[in-house]
Amino acid sequence: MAGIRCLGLRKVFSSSRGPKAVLEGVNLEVKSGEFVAILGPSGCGKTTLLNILSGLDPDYSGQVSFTDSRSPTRPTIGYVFQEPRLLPWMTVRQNIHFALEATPSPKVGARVQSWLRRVGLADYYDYYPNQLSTGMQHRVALARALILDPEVMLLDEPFSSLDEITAMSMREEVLELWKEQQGTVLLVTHNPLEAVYLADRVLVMAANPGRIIAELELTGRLPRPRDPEDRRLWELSREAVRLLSPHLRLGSAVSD
Amino acid sequence: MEALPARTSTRSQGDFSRSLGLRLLSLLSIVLVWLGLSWLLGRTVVPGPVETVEFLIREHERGQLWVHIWITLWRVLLSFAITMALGVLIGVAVGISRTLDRLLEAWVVTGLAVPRILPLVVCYLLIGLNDTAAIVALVIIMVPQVIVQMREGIRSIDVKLVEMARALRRPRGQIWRQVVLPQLAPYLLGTARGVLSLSWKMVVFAELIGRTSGVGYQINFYFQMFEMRGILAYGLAMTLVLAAIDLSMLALSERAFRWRRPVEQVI
Repeated sequence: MAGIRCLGLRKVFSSSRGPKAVLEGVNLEVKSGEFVAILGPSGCGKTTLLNILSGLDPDYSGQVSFTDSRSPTRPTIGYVFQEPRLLPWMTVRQNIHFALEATPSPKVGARVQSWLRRVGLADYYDYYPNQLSTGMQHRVALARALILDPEVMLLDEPFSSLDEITAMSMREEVLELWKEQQGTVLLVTHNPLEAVYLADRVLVMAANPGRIIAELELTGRLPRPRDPEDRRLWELSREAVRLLSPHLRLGSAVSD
Repeated sequence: MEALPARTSTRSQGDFSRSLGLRLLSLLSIVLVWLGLSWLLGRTVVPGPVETVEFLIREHERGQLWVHIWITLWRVLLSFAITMALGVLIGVAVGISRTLDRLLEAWVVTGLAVPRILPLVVCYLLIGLNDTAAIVALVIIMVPQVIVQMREGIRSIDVKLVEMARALRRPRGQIWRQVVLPQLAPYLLGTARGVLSLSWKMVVFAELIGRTSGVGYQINFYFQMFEMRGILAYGLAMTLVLAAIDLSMLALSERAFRWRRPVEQVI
């Protein structure tokens, strides 16, 4: 498993009104096997940060490195986006297969089937995405990221477009899979309750420019397994919001 | 587990029969209009389907029909293939590169605006009354339309899907084949059908004014003989051949897009 380290990360977007810093001096350290949540309002640069970490956006200044990786170059990264981003012309099985190879082989086919069982979609392997509910599509996207056996999982508000009941079951699934895989997870969310329920540590991020302003350590204060009904979850989520409140300004968001 | 959503793409036997019935009805309406026109204007002016088919059979027995159809078909398919290959390559390149788009903009706009007969006449004058001139002219006439369609196709690509593939570290070839091309396919197939139809019309025109073989030449020949049956017979034969090719493309497109949700379910 791999850890993540960012030093003095800066990202500037150019707009019609000149350059605009979206991330400024972001320092971040995620230990190998740790589950860290980044909590912040829309437009504070959370997605931009994940795009940089995933390698999608190479245009930034500062340092990004991965520690303890089994790969000499870059660890395998699983990225789950806000929307499932499934290929609509491929069946569920083909969508998961897509992550591993261009031409399906029987060996990989068995792995795909096993992941479909893990996310409860074994009977839906030949369905097209438009024949699935949003929750099911998110599960396919999760299986597609996990089949890579990633050392680092980047989750970009993966439950924000789901109804609360489906989101609750998906959170449980993610926790189960994290315990099994022992990978490093960096979750981006604007839901304080979700952040404190899932993470070992919550990093609070403010906008304009996007930067980390506070950290909330949860491991000692909220042991696992956690109960979604635990009152302490509510108190800790309020604490996270209080850390963020002085930095909230309406209309400050530019882009995620 | 959420409820099993209804599967929408599985077509029942009833759907198939209904679809076939509607298509046959559409075909029958053409024959009926033809019969009506023949009845209204008289058989000498507009021969009916029976007389036309009889003439067609006679041409076949004389050994003339297929010779001309093959020559026309060869010209149609050759100009179609060159047009599509060039148009797709340039269209994709122009869609990706704004610089190239601006560089070629004047050419594309001129190509779209110029009267279609002009390249044909100019090529016949410059290259001579031969097949090369006809094919070059046809390609010049049709390529700008393919470029425009493919450029729009490339620009309407869902970049989020490409990003997803890049985040999964998929090789460039796989991204093009499995992410970009399927998004271009509707544009590609739509354009191909349009070009094929235009190609056949322009080839017949090119044959009519500058060739000594092909369906267009035969139509011109029977025009000079005031033989309406000959004009309609060759027109009908070539229309049937091209319609068969077009229907195969349509079938291919229906198969390729079976994942799509039928629009009538949502509109």
